[in-house]
Amino acid sequence: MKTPIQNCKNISDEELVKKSLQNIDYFACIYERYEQKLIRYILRISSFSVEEAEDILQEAFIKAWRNLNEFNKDLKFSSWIYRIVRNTTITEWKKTKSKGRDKKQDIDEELFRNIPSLLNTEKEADQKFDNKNIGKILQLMPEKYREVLILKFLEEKNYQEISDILKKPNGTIATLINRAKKSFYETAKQEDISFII
Amino acid sequence: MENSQKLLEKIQKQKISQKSRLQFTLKNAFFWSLFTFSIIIGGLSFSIIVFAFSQTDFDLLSNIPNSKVELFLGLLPFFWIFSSLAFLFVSIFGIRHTKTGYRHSPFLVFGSSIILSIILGTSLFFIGGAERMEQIFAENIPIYESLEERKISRWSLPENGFLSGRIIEKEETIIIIEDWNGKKWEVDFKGAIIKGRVFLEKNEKIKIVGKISENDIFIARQIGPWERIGKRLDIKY
Repeated sequence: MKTPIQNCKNISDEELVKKSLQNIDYFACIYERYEQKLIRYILRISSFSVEEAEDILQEAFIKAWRNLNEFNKDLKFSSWIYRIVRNTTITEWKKTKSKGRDKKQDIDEELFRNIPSLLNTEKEADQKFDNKNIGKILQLMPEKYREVLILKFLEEKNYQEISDILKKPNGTIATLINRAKKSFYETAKQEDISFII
Repeated sequence: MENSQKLLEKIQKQKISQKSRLQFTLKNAFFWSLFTFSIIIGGLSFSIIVFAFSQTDFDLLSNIPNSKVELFLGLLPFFWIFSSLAFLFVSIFGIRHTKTGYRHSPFLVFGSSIILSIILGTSLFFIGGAERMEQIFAENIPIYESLEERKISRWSLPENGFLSGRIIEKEETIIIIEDWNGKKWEVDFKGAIIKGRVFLEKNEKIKIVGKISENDIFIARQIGPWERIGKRLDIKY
């Protein structure tokens, strides 16, 4: 019998993991809690369609189910699931790349909505961003830089969470973000895209 | 059907089971053990490097006119240096693969592994573990060339100016020695620097830097003790 999602609302992720180990229905709660966020994340870091992203998410959650006993309180559940989803997406993405389908044609502006914080502005009224251009720049950037920018500014993860997702030390994350910002502006310059801040 | 229900159905239909907690605990324990083991072996290797250096006569090289670099390289215990470095990297690999090993800075991991190996290695050297380990290697591994064997090879090159052996006779400024191949040499040590702890007594083992003057006659420039433990003031004859 399915656990009504309402019953899960006030239960923490960690508690849900514990309960899932005893009753699989609680695993559905975790899935539903993260589904939208993670599909958006997959779309941001790859060029998959929504349907493909849904399949990848299912695949990632099957891996999470298999390895549920590995999860412990050393890290946040969200970091752990993001890590699995990221790795699954990259594996699938590499397969797609080898088939020569590695660039997105249409960029969904909605996916890049949060990016103004990357450009260090607090005056939202003054923001005149073309989210499509931001998406284009991100796609042109080296993968290692793109993924930290997405995690920091779009997924709004802190350094520790990014460190746990990418399995890199905090210091490395800080350096990567700084370099990624530079790379973002350089790519924008090369593409002749300017931002009014 | 909701995606969450599709997921549960798939898990149940395909009977996807969970890996046991023990499996993950063992995996983590394996990498911690690998780290610990590598630090110990790295430390042992380092202790033998210290031992090898303590047995090497770098000071005698000061009087050698040429090919010092070549000779210096020949004195280095490459096997143990390589072994120390290899286990240092294995220890880093081990800790980086523990559950939260990735959180530590590579420099910190590298630095602490080196420091741990140095502390362990130096302690082992001082309690005599290095010498014992070296002996075990020499006795049990046929292809391993012990430090003593290497030393004998290095000091059995009279044509290059290196001679060693046991004193069998002594006169005023001449000694007769028998080298490690049983050959007898007349060594003229007039004007030679006699390094610390050499008494030029019968049965004493020594090493000599100099040159061959005639068949079986060797002119010594420096004479040092075969075993290198301590130093005393040099005496010029």
